[in-house]
Amino acid sequence: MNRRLNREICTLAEAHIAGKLSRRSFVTRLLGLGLSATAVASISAEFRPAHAASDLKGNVRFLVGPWSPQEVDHHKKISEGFTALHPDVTFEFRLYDWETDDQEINTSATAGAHDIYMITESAYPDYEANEAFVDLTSRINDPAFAEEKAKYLYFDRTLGFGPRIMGLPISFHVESALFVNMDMVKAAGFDETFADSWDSFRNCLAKLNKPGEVYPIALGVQPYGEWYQVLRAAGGSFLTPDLSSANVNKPEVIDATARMASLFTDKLAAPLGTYNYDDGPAAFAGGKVAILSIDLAATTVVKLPLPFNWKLIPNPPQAAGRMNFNDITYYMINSKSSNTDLMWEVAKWWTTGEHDAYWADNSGTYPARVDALSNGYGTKAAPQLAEALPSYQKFSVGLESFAGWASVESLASAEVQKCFTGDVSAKEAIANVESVVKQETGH
Amino acid sequence: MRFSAEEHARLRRRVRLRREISGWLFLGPMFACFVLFLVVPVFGTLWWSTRFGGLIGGTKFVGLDNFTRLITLVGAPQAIRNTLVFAGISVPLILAGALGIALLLARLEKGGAVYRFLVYFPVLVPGVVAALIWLFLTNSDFGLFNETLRAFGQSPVTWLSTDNALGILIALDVWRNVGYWAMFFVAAIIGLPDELYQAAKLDGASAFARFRFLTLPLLRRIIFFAIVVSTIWAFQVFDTAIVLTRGGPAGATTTVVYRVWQYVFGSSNKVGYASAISLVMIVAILALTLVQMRVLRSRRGGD
Repeated sequence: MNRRLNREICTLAEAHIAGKLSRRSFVTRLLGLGLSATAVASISAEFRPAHAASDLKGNVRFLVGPWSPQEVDHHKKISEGFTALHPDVTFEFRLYDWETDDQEINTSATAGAHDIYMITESAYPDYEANEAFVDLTSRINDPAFAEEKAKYLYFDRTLGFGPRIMGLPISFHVESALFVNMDMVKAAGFDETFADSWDSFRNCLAKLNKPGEVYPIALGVQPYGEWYQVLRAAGGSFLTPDLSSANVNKPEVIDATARMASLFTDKLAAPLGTYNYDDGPAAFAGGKVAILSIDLAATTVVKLPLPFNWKLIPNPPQAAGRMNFNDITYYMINSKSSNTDLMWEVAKWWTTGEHDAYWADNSGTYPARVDALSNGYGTKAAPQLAEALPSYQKFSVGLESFAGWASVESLASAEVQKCFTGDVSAKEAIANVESVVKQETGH
Repeated sequence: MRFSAEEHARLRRRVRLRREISGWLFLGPMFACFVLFLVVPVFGTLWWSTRFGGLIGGTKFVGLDNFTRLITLVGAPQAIRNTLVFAGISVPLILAGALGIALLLARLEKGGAVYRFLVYFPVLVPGVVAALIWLFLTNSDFGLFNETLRAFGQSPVTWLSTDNALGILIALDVWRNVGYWAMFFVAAIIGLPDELYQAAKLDGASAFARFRFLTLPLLRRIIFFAIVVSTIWAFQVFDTAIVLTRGGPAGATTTVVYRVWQYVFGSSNKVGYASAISLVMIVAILALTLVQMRVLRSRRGGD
């Protein structure tokens, strides 16, 4: 508006100097211009957001998770645009480790070491219940932000953890998907419907088996969330919906777990320990594994395009009772951060449709904005991701709303693995998981 | 110039004070580190062991609950068993291997420094790096171990499976630590009195007899020290376990310290459990060390 005003004043002055405008008219119009500018300024102040940024200045320290090998580079790229607009703002990026994310975030937040944190949904309930991060509810519900708010997905799900909104969503991430080498599946005499029933899936695995050359399937490469999907698909959960008691030890859960374990005992799955999170994707890309169970971020590790046709399908592989566990990731602001207004502006910038699309496209995950697709999402990511999204959303299920969920999940996964190796039966493993739930939650 | 007795005393006091102050100044940084990194954490662990909660969100006093719940923790027996098996196998292998290598190195007349460096080299490799090296060695598809097996026409092995993972962890530990204790033993063997061996040779003692009745008894102090220290280290195995196998598969390499780490870093409100396990472990190691001292001292004949 300043530039427009300046232009108008210049035009009036030039007209007056050129003799086209009398002195009286010049002064009157100048006054009119000043009055209308004042009026516009006062009206716009009414609509000014309650948390509008003033002078943006300062250093912003990010603590984020390593979704892809070039994670920091992606953030630097997003920061460039912000720095161009606000030269007095600088950025620092540090990565945490997925194995120690909770504690790294906790210690950092307690010490005020970083300003903006990338927090996954598994930890969200813990932080919703305390004051470590800024409560963004009023900013997000600010009428001036309403148009933008409508573009974010998953706020409804966020409110399931409590009345406060502590972060801006950036991704919807599928924790355990099946990467399927379709060339191998077709060579084994099956089509795309091979995973629609357990029997068909198992028959296909049996045909894919080439001992010493190809493992039909690799499970447990990244255990997080893998068995949890089986639990949810079988109608169980760690706790009952009212969070009052354990809900694990059910016949359907035992059956589903036993079916999963049978893949190991029948030597259809690579023995546990054959592949890990780092070399599993390489084994799939190299044709050593026909079907790989892993999270979607694995698409950033392998060199695309792969030399064969492949697709992503939900896990566990049954049409009936399919359930897809996923989590949402947020940007949250440290309560100890000295300039919350600046951090809010930065968090908004990082989650615009354009930037969310760019980050998700490079991180093997799905954006959390409705306008991401129109802003370039899908230009770099494997097309299989977009193709699989509807089925992942259709069978979507999140984590349960109790503190310490991640700890229970980790201990439960280790207990279930014991029946994959034949150390205990599925029944014993599930009983142990129920004990873990009781021991960790006190229910 | 002469000083009175009173002035003498005053000057002496001043010199003594100056010496005291400079002594404390030299000691200060070390003492501060001792307090900061040992005393405070120990008292912190004691405090945390009676609390429920995490670093964020407050804590509440639960008395001895964290200790009583340890007995019923799912997976605790496996972690204890893994730790005991690890220590029970790795310590004898490390010390026997180190002694054997030391006996060979002590006999070398040429190139000793080169061999000593080669033996000591794995000690210089940090635990995390050592685990990464072994991760490559044990890779199912392109690891050196399986490539060697394939070269000899054998089937590849899943080295980090539930059956083999603890064995690989032990092998890694032996590889890393054998050189360390070998250097201790080499230094001790070189320092043994030569005349005893000459006299034994004159008396017709065989090489084994000289080792059994001279070397071993003469090295008993250093061997005793090595047993105690390497057992303590073995109980603390963690870094290699987390990098190599992440405690898996199916908890096959989950050790007690790994469980401590799980409760501190994998959970947001179980620092109390982790502290209680740590304290129990300190007491267990202390008790075991006392037993070792009692047993080994009695074998020494009370000297």
